[in-house]
Amino acid sequence: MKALLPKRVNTTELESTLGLQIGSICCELRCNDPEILRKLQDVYRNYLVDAEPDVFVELELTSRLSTSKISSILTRSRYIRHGNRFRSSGRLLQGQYDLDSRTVKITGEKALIDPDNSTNLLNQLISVSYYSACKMKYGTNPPAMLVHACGILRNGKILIFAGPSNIGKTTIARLCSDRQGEVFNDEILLMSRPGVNGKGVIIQNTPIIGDLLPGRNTTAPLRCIFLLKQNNRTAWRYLDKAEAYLRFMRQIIGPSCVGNYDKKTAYSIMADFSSEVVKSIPIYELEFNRDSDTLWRVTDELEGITGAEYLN
Amino acid sequence: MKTIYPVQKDEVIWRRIGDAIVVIKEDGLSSHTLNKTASFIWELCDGNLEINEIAKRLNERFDVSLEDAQADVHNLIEELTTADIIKKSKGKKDKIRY
Repeated sequence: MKALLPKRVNTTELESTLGLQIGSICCELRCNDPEILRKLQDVYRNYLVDAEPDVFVELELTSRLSTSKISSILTRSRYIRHGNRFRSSGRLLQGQYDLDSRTVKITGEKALIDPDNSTNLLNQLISVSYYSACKMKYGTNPPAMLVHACGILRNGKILIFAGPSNIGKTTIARLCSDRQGEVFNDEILLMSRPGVNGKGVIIQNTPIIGDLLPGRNTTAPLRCIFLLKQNNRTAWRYLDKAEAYLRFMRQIIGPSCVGNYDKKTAYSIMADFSSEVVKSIPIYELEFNRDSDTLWRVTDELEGITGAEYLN
Repeated sequence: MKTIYPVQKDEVIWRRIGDAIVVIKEDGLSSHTLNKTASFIWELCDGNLEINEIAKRLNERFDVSLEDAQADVHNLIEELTTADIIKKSKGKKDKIRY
């Protein structure tokens, strides 16, 4: 496991911008609200860097609506994208990408961005920033993609647990004690393309907040992927590659993660990435009855299996 | 009998995964997994080969009679056309017009 050193932060000194590292991307966050900026500085403290920004995110925050009004609108709010512009229905936020100036401008309600509220917009902001920068820096060949999954570091390698929402990713993170492993993140991880830099698939933690706060900014090699299925027993089976490919693409990447590409380009990027991963990493279906001891015993059975049979 | 040149629709995205080919539409909602034989036929659907020529190649590549190959290709093209991932063209895709 490789620990990435964060920028040394002086908590008494507020900076006007934050340099946020998301994998190989540096995102400079600018905000007109010092209070929010200070909170973001604290939340993202393990991911702050001094580096040349790949993308600039300008946040212009307003306090037009009450928190209760915002919550009410949010329940029926939709995200609408048109070309380089996007907005939510109900006018909670709007923004636009400018690829020439590498800038994403967002105007929105302060309560949406406030880390003390659970609107989850910060996560979308990071996702948008990452893929906007990737599009500018790498075109249609991003070196890593954000994946919707829980990552557990166990015996020096990452086990990924994924599946539809509410399938049990956070439950697994909560079942992981210090003795059993370290939770990387229970929401979003960064997964490298297989073979980038001559290594296997590398998982990096992200500054994206799940039910558990993101941990250290670290990387580790991926061991295997479990696609979760709730059942009254805990057992695993290999998925054939075609099924693994489709489920990986639909349940782990998801088009909403891929940002401001047109649909066909987004799916092509997802298809390339998914097919590369499926050829390199064993993917299992894990039936899961939420019992901790059985869970780790079953995953340990796989420690003796190289996956060579599956991959060949 | 009309001459038909089957061609993969522009809107689909497909990748070879092991022996299979997985085709998805650009909306990402529907997918089709083709077995080894169907994958062989799919790759020949480039708009430049007529159905009978595809059947002939299937007959040469696999242990199947020409009659069975023609029936298999015809049935698969019908199925994939219904699934809206193949279209039937009456002329060659790369035909040069003078």
